[in-house]
Amino acid sequence: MSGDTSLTAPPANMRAVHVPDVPEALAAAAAALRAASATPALQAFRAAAWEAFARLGIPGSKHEDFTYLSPADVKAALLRLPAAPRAAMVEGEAGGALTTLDFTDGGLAAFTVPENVDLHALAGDDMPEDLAAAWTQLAAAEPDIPAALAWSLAQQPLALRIPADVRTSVRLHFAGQAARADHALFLRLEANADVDVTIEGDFGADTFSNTAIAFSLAPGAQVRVMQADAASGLQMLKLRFDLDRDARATCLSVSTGSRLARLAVEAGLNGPGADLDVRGATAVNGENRVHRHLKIRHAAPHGTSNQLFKAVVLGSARSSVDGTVVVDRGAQQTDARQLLQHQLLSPDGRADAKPRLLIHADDVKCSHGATVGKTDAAQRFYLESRGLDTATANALLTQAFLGEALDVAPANVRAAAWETLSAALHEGDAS
Amino acid sequence: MTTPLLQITDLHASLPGPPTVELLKGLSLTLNPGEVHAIMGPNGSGKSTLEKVAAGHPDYEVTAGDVLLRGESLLEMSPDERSRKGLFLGFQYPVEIPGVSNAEFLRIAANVRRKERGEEELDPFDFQEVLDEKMKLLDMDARYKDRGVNEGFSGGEKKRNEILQMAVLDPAVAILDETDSGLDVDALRVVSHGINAIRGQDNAVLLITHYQRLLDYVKPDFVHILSGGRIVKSGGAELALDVETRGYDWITG
Repeated sequence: MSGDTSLTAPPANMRAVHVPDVPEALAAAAAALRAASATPALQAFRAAAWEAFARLGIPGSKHEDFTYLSPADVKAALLRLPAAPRAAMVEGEAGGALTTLDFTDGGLAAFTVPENVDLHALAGDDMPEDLAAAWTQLAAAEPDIPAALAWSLAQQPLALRIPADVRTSVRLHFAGQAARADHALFLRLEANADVDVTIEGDFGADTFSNTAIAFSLAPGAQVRVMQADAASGLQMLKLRFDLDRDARATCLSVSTGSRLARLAVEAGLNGPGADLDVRGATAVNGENRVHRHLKIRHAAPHGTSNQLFKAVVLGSARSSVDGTVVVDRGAQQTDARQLLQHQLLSPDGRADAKPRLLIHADDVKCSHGATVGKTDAAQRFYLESRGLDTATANALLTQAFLGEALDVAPANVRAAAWETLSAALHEGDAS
Repeated sequence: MTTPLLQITDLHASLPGPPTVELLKGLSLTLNPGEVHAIMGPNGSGKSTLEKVAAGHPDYEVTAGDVLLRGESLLEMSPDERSRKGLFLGFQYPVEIPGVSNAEFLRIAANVRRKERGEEELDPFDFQEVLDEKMKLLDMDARYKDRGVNEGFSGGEKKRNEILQMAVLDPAVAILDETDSGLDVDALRVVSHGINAIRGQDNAVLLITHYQRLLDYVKPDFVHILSGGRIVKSGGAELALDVETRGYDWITG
């Protein structure tokens, strides 16, 4: 990866864009970041993203992408000022079998990249033009407000290109204690590439982490994403999947929530035969919040998509899942399933689910449903009749409820996920 | 004198209303060790109610009488306590529990009993041996271990799974509610073989059934006809044959 950090002139995209409700200080910080961009490509990217943000604005209390979140919390987080730009990039290591990118307070702190994977920075002079152009186009059309800001304000937007037919693993780790950290990543999987990605975070209680990651899959490529929210902090993560012909993406998100934990998944099944499976397993307790916002678009025929989100709510916690499936006119023979389920196990908790289907084609199979309930009385009685006491029966049923969402993951990931979720379920048991 | 394993005396039970419906109206029945009893009766006679009341189903209210297991009343016990004391219910419609693996569920249930008896709990490896042996008895494919409890099982597979649970839990008294319904002849033979293998001098079995055909395979010592919430006639295995040919009208009037 190139470490070229020299300032380049002229600032081609420097015109100020006024955004209602955005304080001058934030606009000025974004402008300063654009001005400090090391390459025209980075500057153009940041400018395109900021313009997208300017069109979207700060979400008001009625904004339907944020229906179940506290508008004040969202606004306060989004308007936090970014840290001053970092001048230098860290030296990483080449070789090994695994790509690891470790970010601290928004900056890349350490990385390893195998020989058969290409890491490029928008700030570097070796960024392939096609990647930069595709990514910039995507940022310019960004519909998600936090993501538009993440693209605009990330200190070091990085792209990974996985060449055709390569099978590899990528580990992304985001950590920090700073007031705000924005991250922007673009992963391009060439034809038939096959990649496992883990995404994890570890933040201070008052850190706002705002991350946008786009996956662009060429025909036949496959990605399996295992994402876990951090246990604390204000977290907003946008995952975008663009799937070409016969590409497959699987994504599992595990969360026990925090002050604010929002995940937005946007997917486009753009080529025939594309397949998407998005899962969520949430156990949220105390005062924690978990919000999931999903938008799946079938734009080509013969695509299949599955959304399965399971959340258990205890204490005074809140969980929401807002999912939309759009089937375009030409996307015949689409098979889309969506199931958003909550177990609401405390009187003070709150669970919201909004399943939506917008179908413009006439030869499709689409199912959607949402449930909010307690553990099933008939199932509980069955277990009790085999000698399990009520608490054990309920625990087993809750485990089973969440387990359905986890079964897409390999055994070691399932075990780790269950350990995390189980701890949240039993939080406060001893008191 | 031998203490009966199960003694039901003048049992009255209702579904609380409004309106309250009395379903069992003075049922009495005694099962001694080593005995197999069959209860037959027309639809609505109270057969399934008897099983649910014995199990402690929360929908039913016992208004009079008692149910004793080895001389100890079950009525104040929760459903799980009754099970741990040695009562097993084979359900007519076993529920599906996706996400709970059949093997893990059986191990937990077996260990709950072992713990109650002060025995060491079985780890997954030790339990595997126990389970394999019992599954062989019921001619069950190994894939049923990892599937969710009854998840996607056919009617016959569910019944087979009930008998597998009975084999693993080794109860003192098993009440099997229409275990034969939904079974084809081959499955009926296998399930009956399982019940016969489990029955012994230390336990007792109560079969609730509509049809004589189960009793061709599992020979009962006593047959009782239930009608209007009480037993109206008792006899030997030949009583079931009479019912098969003559129906219930000659008994129930």
